[in-house]
Order: sequence, then C-alpha cells, then structure tokens
Amino acid sequence: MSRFDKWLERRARNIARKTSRRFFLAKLGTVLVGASAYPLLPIARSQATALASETDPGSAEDCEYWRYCAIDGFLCACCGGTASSCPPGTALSPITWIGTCRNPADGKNYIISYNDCCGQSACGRCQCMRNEGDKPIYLTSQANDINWCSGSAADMVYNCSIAAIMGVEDEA
Amino acid sequence: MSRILVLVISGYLISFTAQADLSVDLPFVEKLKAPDHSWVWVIDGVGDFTKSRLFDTTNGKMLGMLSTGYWSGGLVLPSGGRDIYAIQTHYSRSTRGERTDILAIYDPQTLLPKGEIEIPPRRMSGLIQKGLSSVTADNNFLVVQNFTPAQSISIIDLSNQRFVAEIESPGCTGVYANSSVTFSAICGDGSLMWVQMNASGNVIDKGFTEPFFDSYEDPVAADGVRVDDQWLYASHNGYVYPVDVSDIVPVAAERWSFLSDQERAAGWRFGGFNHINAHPQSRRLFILMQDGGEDSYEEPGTEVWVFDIDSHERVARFELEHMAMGLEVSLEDKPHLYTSAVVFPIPTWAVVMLAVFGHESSLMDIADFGLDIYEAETGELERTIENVTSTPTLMQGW
Repeated sequence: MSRFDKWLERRARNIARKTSRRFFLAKLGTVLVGASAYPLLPIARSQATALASETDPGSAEDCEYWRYCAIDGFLCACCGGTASSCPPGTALSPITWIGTCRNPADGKNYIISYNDCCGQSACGRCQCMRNEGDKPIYLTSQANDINWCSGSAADMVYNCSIAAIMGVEDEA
Repeated sequence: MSRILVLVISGYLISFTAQADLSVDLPFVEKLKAPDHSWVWVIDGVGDFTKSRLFDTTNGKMLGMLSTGYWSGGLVLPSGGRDIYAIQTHYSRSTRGERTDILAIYDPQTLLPKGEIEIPPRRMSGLIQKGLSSVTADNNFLVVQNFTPAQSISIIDLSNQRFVAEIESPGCTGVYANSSVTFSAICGDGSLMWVQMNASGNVIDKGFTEPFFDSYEDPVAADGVRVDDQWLYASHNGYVYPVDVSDIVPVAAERWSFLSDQERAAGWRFGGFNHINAHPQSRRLFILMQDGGEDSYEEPGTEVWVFDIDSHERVARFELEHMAMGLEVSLEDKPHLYTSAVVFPIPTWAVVMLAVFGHESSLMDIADFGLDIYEAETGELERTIENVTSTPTLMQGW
C-alpha cells in the first residue's frame, strides 16, 4: 500500500469515525431517550410552535440544534412533532432524562427534558445521537441508553424524542 | 383433443427426463448440530421486531435465527446442548396493547419454541444490553433488571422453569450473577447491591458494599466481563475496576489504568456499544478503542487493545480493518476476535469525497453492518461476513 493510499485510508477512517457519531445510527431501526414529567413547561409550550429565532437559534430538524446536546433518538420535529411536541398518534412518556445545554444566543445553560414519544412504530427519520453528559444506566436520570417508553405509563413502542426546555440552570 | 394433450404431456416428460441429470430434491427443514465455540449469535437488539442470527465463523455461513420480540433482552446460551432462553417483550396488538414479558424457551437443535416463563412486564430495555440480565454460573437462575422507573430485579429459576420473585433494587441498575446463588447490581453512588438466594431462588440476605468508584467523575460502563472469580468493569477515563465475587459480599480490588497519561490526554477511550471482553483461558482482556476524547465512549472503535489481566501490561494493539461497534472473544482454545464492523461498500476515495463535499449522512445510508473475524493473537483478519444485522448492539459467542 502506497503512502498516499495509507493517508487516504487513515483520513477516511477519521472522517467516518467523526461522522458516525451523528449519523451511524441512522440505519438502526430506532433508539431512545427520555426524561421526567412534561406538564410544567410553560416555556416549552411557548416554544413549541416557534421557528428558529435570534433567541432560539437553529433548526429543530438539525441534529446540531443546541437543545439536542444530549439526545439519542429520532427527532420528533422530523416526524410530525416539534422540538417540544410529539407527533399525532403518539403518547408522551411521563418519565424522562435530563440534560443541560448551552444556548449560543444568550450563553445561558438550559435544563432540557428529553421525553420519548411512544406508539405507532419507530419513526426512522433524523436519527441524532449526541452523548454530551450522558451517564451509564445506573444513573438513570442522566442515561440516554434507556428506552423511556418501556415501563412508563405510555408503555408502547418507541417513536421519537423531543427536547423541551425546563428552565435556566441556576448559576449559583 | 385428449390425444393431442397426451402427446404434449409426453413430450414434456421425455424432454424432462432427457435433461434430468440432478437427483430429485426432497425439501426438508435443517436442524443444528451440537453448538460449537466458533458459532456466534449477532443480536439485532433494538427495534419493534428484533432478530438474532447465528453464524458459523469458520465458513461465514448463517445457520439460523430467532425472532426475539420488542427490544431484545439477549439470549441465554447454556452449554451442553441445553435449551436456549430469550428474554422478550410482546404487545398484544404488535406495537401497542397489553404488554407481556416472557422468557421464551427454544430447542437448541430445531430453534423451535418449546415453552415460556411469564415474568413481570417491567424488564428494562436499553441500547446496551449487557447488565440488563445475567445467568448464574451453573445456569440455574436468571436475574433480569426491571425499570418503571422504579428499579427492581426479577429472579427466574431456569431448572424448574418458574418465576421465583421480584425484589426492589432502589438506585441500582445493571445486574451481574456472581455465584450459583449470589448476584449484585451497580448503584448510582458507586457501590454494589449484593443478594444471596437459597437453593430455591428466594432471597435470604442482601446488602450494599462501600462505593468503589466515583459515578460522576469516572463512571464505569455497565458492561462488565467475567474472568474466573472477578467481574471487570472499564471506566470512561480509562481504568479497569476489578470486583472479586468469590464470597457472598463482593470485594472491589484496586483499579488499574489501561491508558498511559499520554494516551489519556490524546483522547483514547473505549468505544462502541460492547467495548470489553476477555479470553479466560489465557487471561487476556480485549478492549475496543477510539480516540474521540470526552463523551466519545459510544463512538465506533478503530483499534483493539489487548491486556494481560494479571500484569496489566498491554500485550498487543491491533488496528481494525473496519471500525466497529462492539467486540466479542470466542471461547476456543485459540481464540478469535469478532467485531461488529461498519463497512462502506464503496472505494475509500469515494468515502473521502462524500465526506469532503458534505454528504456524511449519505455515508451511513450506505453503511453495512458486518461481522469481522480476526485471529485474536495476531489481529489478522480472517473473514468479513457482510450484512449480518441492522442494529449492531450485541454479539454472544456460544
């Protein structure tokens, strides 16, 4: 193998590896996420129909969207829902896991509830896997490898995942 | 009219017999021979209808498969030709309706279902399936992690094919059988919950160890590997935490680093969904590695590092032919290393071009999840079996 070939090979591997973090699960038939109780989210509700704005920059259909820093699943915004609402025909899992993501618009850290939407079948669109702050399954409230539909009140198959704002992290 | 028909039919028969060089087939259904350590199950573990496929790694042939329900809980593969068990979840209307969790029992030769044990419909399903259940060394009991999100553990008596009991495991998730009558679970504070059963599977004692790792600063993956009397757990920052389980109460031994300070600083971490395995006969530990740095522990591995479990020395380091999402080591005396390979069925230059021009997502649309078989001592690739799974979550050698 020539030096050029080796370089090409190594470069391809590196690209593939870095690429895979976001995309390699696109072929997988599913995935997870989730977190706690949705009700209490006036901020999230107000954001539910909002398009990208100066205060909430980015597209909810893009894996790089700032709220998705710790998500692992199909983006509901690509499946008939939004960043904070489930698609029609599904049920919101009342149990969930929590992440903390920095909003580049105001530089504040927001507490994000990653709820799974349950029912129908795995959506299969816009797979997004970002593990920033993800923890093993024995730290359940911060674990995105758990299927949060299973065992919940919405005990059906997994459909997609949302990232609802719970509030701003207390800087103290 | 009928005379013409007879002539036509006769013509066909004559024509057929004149060309019939092959003997007549008598279609039938295959049975498996006695299982071999060169066989491996590839678990397509995440999805509405999961599949487990069995491969013979000596020739790359698929031998058969099992349908394993919603988000597979993996297989239990007792030695000696005993029945296969599969932990499964089913809904009465396919993807909705009443949920039933079972331990399905399959004949190891016909792969036909021959019975089932109903268990509490609360088993945890997750992307990484090790730690969600564990079977005792003598194959008498199976323990299954539950999550609602209240945590509990189901105990199943395999010998008598009955569900025994469900016990609470508050704050503890990730079960590991220790002896024929003891098991433990990893707790969020870095300790272990330990449980002792009697010969019937009923709990007679339980307790908690002191914390032996920092679950926030250096969490261990809930993906342990058993070598003799120890469970070995690898941590996100590059340490192995051994736990001796020869007594009823587990005892943590001193951790050891599988990274030098330079390697740690360079971002080397374990990678994939199943990143650690061992060959007990030679006391070698195999870890799937990548250099993506913090929070990269589920990225595909590009190398496998091999360690002597006793001296902690790295004895080999292989660059993989294809990056991989998991690894398994066969129990053969001369072991093989199996990896869940991510294969791009296009030339390398085309991979680079797609990435350079911003079409990385297309790369994964064409990726094929295969099974690479390496000679474990030399790291030499012996064979790639293509198209073995769509969700490379777990491999189980027989």
